[in-house]
Amino acid sequence: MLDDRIEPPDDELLTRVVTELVRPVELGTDLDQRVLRILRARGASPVRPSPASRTRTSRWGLGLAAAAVLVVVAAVRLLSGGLPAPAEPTVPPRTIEFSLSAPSSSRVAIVGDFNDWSPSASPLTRASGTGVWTVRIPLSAGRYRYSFLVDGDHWVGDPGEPPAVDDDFGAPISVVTVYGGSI
Amino acid sequence: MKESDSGLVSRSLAGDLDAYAELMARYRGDLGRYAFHMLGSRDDAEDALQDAFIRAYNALASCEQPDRFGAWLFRILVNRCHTAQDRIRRRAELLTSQDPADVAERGDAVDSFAWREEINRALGELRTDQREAFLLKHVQGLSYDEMARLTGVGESALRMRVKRASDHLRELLRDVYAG
Repeated sequence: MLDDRIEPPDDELLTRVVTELVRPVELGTDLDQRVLRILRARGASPVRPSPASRTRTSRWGLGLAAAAVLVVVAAVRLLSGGLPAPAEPTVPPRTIEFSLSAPSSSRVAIVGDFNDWSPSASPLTRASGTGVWTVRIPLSAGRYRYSFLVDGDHWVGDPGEPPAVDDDFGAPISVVTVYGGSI
Repeated sequence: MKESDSGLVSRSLAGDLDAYAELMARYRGDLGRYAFHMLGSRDDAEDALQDAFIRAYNALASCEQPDRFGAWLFRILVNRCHTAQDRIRRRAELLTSQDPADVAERGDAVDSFAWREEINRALGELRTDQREAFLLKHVQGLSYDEMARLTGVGESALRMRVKRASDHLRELLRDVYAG
């Protein structure tokens, strides 16, 4: 039976580690507001079924509810080309345009949370006669980290978006927040 | 007098977002700390916590014990952290700089900031399951029984993970710690 106690003679070391780990950690002060904005944009409002309606839930009720779900799923499929998570309200994704000025480059791609960090999934297209590269990507509400991969060998952050707070990987990471709906 | 979690959950279920905001404020600190130490970055911790809050709201009607909303929410966050690990690993593999000049040298932890950085670095080198078990036991203060119910892993395995995490942290930090 393993002992729960931190073993001597390093009690003090691990005690100091734990003392440090239990200290408060500051996260973004606007996190709660972002959540509320997303919930309002979705028009989300969880409804608790009343005990009476629960007992009266009949085949009719279940059948109508199932039909409603199928309609929503079909609508979102048309708009976004993908399946929504079944238990959550659905909001059509917003199309976001990303652009980068790189006149002397031969190829640019965007790589991030929205394409599984795949360097080949989302190449940008250069507008003829300009040095501006663009791509339009449909994004559901949420926050996404990304970076531009230029000529396949160096990373460039988006000058139009804020940088990520943490950059532990030696590459400039930008952050975009999508609220969904009309917000 | 502070409103109970049950009361806030009831009001949230009726569509009162201010009540849900109160619930988020109540648990943001504790859960955010866990997510930060589990995932290793504030951005990733915020994403996991934001995701957990949204999922919890959408599933609020299924919270069978509103007076234990915090424990129920924490279980959602633990699952979000699991999901985030794969994405973080892919990002790290793609973006990690190979330039030795970018790698900070380990030195003596001459101040508290450096010590915190060393701890976070050592924590990041643990296996995910060992890191999780160590944090649940020694930072979240859960019993092994609670940890088993949360993770679905047996108590013996959890004890072994905590021990191995402890041993590995000692090994990683012994030279840094001047205590």
